[in-house]
Amino acid sequence: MTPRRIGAAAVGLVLLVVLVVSDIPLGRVVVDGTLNGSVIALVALGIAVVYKSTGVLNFAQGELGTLPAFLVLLVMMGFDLNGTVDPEAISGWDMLGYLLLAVAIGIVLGVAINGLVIRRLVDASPVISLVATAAVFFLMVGFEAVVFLPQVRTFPRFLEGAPCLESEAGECIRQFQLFGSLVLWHAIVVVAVLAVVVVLLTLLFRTQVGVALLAASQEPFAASLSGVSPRAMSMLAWGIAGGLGGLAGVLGAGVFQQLFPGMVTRDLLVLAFTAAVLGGINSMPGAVVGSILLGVTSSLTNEAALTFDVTGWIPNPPMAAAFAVLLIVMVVRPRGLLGREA
Amino acid sequence: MTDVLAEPIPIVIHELPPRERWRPSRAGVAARLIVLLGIGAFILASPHLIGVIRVNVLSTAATSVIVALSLNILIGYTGQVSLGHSAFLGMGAFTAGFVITTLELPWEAAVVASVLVGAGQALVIGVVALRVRGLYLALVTLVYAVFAERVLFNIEAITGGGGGIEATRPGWAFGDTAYAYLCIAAVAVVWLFDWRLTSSKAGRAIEALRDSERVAASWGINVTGFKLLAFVLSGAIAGLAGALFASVEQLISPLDFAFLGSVTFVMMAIFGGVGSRPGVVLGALIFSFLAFGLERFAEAFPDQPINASATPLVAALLVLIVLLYFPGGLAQLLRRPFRWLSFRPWRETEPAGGGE
Amino acid sequence: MTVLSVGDVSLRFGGLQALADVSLDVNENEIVGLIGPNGAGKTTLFNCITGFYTPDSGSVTIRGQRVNDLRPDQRTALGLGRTFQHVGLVRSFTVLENMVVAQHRNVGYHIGAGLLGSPAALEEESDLEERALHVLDHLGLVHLADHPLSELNYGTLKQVEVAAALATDPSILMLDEPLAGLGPKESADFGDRLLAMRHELNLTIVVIEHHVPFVLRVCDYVYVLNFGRILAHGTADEIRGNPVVAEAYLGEGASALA
Repeated sequence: MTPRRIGAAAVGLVLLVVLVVSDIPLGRVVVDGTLNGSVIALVALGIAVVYKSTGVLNFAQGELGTLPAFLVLLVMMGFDLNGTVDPEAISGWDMLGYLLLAVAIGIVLGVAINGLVIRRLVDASPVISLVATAAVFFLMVGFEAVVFLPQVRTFPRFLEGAPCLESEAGECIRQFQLFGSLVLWHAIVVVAVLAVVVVLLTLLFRTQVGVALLAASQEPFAASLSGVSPRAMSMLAWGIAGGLGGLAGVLGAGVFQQLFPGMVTRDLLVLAFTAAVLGGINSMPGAVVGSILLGVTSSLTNEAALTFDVTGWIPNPPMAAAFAVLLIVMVVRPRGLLGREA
Repeated sequence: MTDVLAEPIPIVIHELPPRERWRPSRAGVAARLIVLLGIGAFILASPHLIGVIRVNVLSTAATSVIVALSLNILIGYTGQVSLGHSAFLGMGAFTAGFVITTLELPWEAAVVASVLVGAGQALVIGVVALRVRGLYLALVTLVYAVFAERVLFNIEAITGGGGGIEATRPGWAFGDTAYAYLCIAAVAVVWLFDWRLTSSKAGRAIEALRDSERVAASWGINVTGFKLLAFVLSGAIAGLAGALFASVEQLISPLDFAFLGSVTFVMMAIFGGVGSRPGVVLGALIFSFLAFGLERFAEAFPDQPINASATPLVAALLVLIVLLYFPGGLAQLLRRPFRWLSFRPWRETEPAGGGE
Repeated sequence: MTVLSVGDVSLRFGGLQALADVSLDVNENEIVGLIGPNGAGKTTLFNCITGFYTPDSGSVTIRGQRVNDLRPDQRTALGLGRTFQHVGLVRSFTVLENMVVAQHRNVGYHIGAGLLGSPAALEEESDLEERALHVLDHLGLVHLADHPLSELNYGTLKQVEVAAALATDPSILMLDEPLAGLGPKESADFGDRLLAMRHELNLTIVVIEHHVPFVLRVCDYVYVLNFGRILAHGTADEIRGNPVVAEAYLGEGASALA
């Protein structure tokens, strides 16, 4: 162990020196990374809560975000499929309402998937459950594509229509500078929402129900003896995952300012799976920490690729970094940063 | 290691009673042979039945069948799952393209290279992901599939970037129909390989550990080693499928290997019924011809909205229905005909001697 | 000669001390019994010996070789065969197929030869079946060879499991509750078979069993576990007369033993 730790520390030190000496704007990397990581974290938390309490790897978690976002967009467009949304016209409070609506839709979807599919496969192997969630994913994307057509639509951000902060020059400011990074109000909202979610989940897991939820998968028999119904726990887990999906959908679509069928799956799901493994797939705090770390890694590789001018021959450096990080974690600490030994 | 057969369990108390095994009657054998020959003839005639214009659909379907069979070795026999087979297919295909077009070596060399690359990448990923219990292989391969789609396959020096790379067919199977026969022959080879695997030491060890890793280990089976072997064989066969796929249209691009393809491959195998060769092949064929069938349907009934773009929706519905009502897939639904065709009785239980 | 030795093995699961400084020695050709109430740590000890659990401290030695760092399959290769508390068989296989896989470590042909179907491999395949049938015959199970496991009752499954463990060609056989599901007559028969087998097959046997009269009849030496500790050990007669054992474990059944 010890030589390995010394080796790791040495590699870390060298990397740190390279980073500090290089022109990479570290402040911006951390700020951007945290903001990106927060969106990933909302998806990763949904994956972790379902995996921890039911043992199911949920491939549909991304679409538990995209579909509510689409339905909310439909409401924004006044139920006119050909309509458009003027981001300026939506106040912060309106947006909050839409966000809560998305959460409600997500919860309904999560509970429905649990009831219609997952509960019926309770005795099946994890592979069968995984494939079932993949089929649900295809159904949801198909529904989105049929109803909303396979096209890219504009999606509003939080506080885009908020009153301007007047700068000294009299310009309208909807973003501010932090360590050289332009921070949108929307990103602040994402971080705030994540913080609220973390607090709520922490409180939940201190209650008896929460403890039972975490125990349901590891000791289903013991859990059922203590009066906890695995059925109810599965429903609760999928409800929470759906709600988190709704948050990830609306906030994520806001970050990208667009929405198209399968978007959250395409842009966030795989990163969220990576983050969940990174933090420890059976750890809720791990999902958040892993996501933020992955967000920072992504923005770091982006900046590094620009600084060292390698974008030409390494396409998509953040994705390459995510895969590399995953491999390293699997080799060095397979249970993840905060995960417990299985 | 001592040769055990030299010192068998020493005592034989009495002569073993003869084992009565069920055998079909002469008429039963004839009936089965006729049906099997019919299926064989249909397969051999299929490139001509489908017509030369569309025969490439058949070749592509054959590559999907091979991928599904390769997944069967992993899912059906070990219980692990790979969501990275689109990348494995792509690695095989781009290796073939690189060997044929860039290195200007013959097609046969490309096939060997693709198989080796397929096995090699599975070895590396498997060593990392299979040491840990649980579905980590699914997660790591999923990320690998996305990494391959968005990074590896876009490296221009190797894959030609967005423009793609050519992979010319071998001279002796250059025509579309000839190439379709080549692909069908490859399916037969993989089928035979899989059959030998399941009826020898390695396959039995792998199937045993799917049921219970602890029991397998208690019988002296190196659990991680045989899981890794299954994954490496799966990767090698997927590499072969990639080499074949590359030369169907003789041009491949990164768009052919989107990571969602991996999920579709797994759905094919599960839909057919993992653990059953005929089931998996049938599942892959149905999936492969779904778009083709829906297209013909739309041509025949132009006034209704369903066409080939509904393929993923229809496929997902099929999978969900089968999983909810026949968790064993088509193989469960068709277990009686499958049993009958393998020269066993139509009914479930064989009348063997004795009983409890 | 000591063939299996456990030295001061301890193991904690979270707050539970599953095993505390457990030591035992098993001599060649002995039948050793392991008794104790449910949750005493008997199966946990089996798992430490066979490599499924890693003890927090202490050592496991097979024929003088320390095996702590060996995987379960590597310990099987040293001649350690075992059965499980719940039926440890491959459910999707028939009885005979189970018996054939169980011989894994003694299959001589190379994996590649099996894949290519070399004549030598095919011949050995039929020898494997032959040998499987002989082992089954040994336990009076040969008539069940072609049955799927789903058709067998629990007691029969436990017996098939013993046959599979024997098929691994062990020198030390560890049986976890082999009598579960058997009636009195069958239990007595099994005891006779065990006593015969240890000489015929040159076996050393460690057996976990709740059926105390059986243990006292068959075993040369008995260890009593309670709350993860060795409460007492001795010959069957010593255990039968031990008041501490009678008090702590045998309880009201003690009178039946006297």
